[in-house]
Amino acid sequence: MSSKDNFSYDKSISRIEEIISQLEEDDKSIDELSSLVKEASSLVKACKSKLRMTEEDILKAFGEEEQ
Amino acid sequence: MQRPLSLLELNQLIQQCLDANLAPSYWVIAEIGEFRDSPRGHAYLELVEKSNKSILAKIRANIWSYTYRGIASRFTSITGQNLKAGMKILAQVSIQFHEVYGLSVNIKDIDPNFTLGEKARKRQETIDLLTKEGLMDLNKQFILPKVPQKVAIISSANAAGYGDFINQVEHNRNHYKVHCKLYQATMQGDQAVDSLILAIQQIEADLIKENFDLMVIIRGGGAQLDLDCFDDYELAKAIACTSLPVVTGIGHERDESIVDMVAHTKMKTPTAVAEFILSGFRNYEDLLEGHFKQIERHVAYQLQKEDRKISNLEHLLKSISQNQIQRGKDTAEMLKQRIISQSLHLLKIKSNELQHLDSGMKRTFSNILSNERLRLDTLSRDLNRLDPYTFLKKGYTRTEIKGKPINNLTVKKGDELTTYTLSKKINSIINTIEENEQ
Repeated sequence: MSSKDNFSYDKSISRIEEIISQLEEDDKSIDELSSLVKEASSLVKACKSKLRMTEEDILKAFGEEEQ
Repeated sequence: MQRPLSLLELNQLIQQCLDANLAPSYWVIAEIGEFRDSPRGHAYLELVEKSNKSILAKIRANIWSYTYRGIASRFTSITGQNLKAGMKILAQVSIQFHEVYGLSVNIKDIDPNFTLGEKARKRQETIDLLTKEGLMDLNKQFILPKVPQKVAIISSANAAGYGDFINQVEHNRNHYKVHCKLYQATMQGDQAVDSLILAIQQIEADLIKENFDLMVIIRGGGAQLDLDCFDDYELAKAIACTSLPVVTGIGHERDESIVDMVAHTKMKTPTAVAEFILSGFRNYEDLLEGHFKQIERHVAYQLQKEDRKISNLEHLLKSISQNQIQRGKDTAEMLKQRIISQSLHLLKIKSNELQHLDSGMKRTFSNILSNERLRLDTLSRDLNRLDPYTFLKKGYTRTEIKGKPINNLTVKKGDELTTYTLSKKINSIINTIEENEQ
């Protein structure tokens, strides 16, 4: 869980954008490209999951308040 | 010359002569000039006839004890006084001449009615004179003091009447204090008039010092005799002219004395005088009590009135304060209601605001989330687009020289190429290089 706690959505997004711009430069080897894409994909997944969790948290919080 | 007679012969001759020529007895009117009793019971008198104080005739008289006893008691019982000097009498006398004692009369009888009439005549004369001089009612013009507290008394200290008076005054039921000062006087007999007048003069002299309210003349007890002094003109005049109202209590049983007549008020006895004085106190006390009662009634009425006023005020105060309290309560209640409604209103506003914020926030969150999703989708698409496998899957290949893509390098014949397909890594050497015209 500590990895989840240390997770930063904003940093992740920055990293994804950084990777995309590196990919657009197109001067990397295919091995590097491959590892970058994998990293970015996993970050995208984490961010999506973070968004989902956040939404759930919010809904849960408001739901509790209304009861 | 006649043969001289011896004195005895002469006196005997006179005696014979008198006996031969005079009647056995005569009724004679005369005034008693002197009068004295003898130890043996005889009375020795001197009879005189006067005109304007000068003596016209005079003779010695005697009453032998046996006769005297009868005459005296009858005289006293009828006239109310003893035989004494200055009295006019009608006497039956027989003339006697004694060889040794000379000429005298022997009184055999005295008619008391003559003396009585004489006395009445004299008394009437005095009354007439006093009336003529305006002295009869002079003392009556004084207004009696309401409360005679300082009383000048003319009496004899050892008279029973004085004792009665003092006893009555000092032991009165109501314990009134009467200040009495005694001016001693002889209350009967020859000395009485002068003594009484002297006492009146002394009282007049002490008047300012002692501040007397009233003069009282009292006697009483003992014999009802020798009260002629109280018919005396000079004494009556002195009383009439005194500066104090005079009350008498001389105790005449028979009739009023002239002193009684000129006095302001006549009472029968000293006790009655005391009672009269005390009645003045009592009347005054009654008057005061009447006033007190009136004051008391008035005060009670006032108190009641004030009481009512106070209780009305109390009532008013109570109702006013109750009203005030009620008004205060009402105000408090109104304020409470206002506070409640205001707070409920505020709560509603705040709740609406919160609701608003809440829904705003939800919207914002969902906006943020959807924006982030869009952003992530875009990033995903970009990644997909840039993923080399996407090209490789479509059949494109990628070629590198020494790990660098060849599109950015200058290639020449003989360079070693590494080509990637979806499933293969192909190494080759450049044989020819031509320009791609497409």
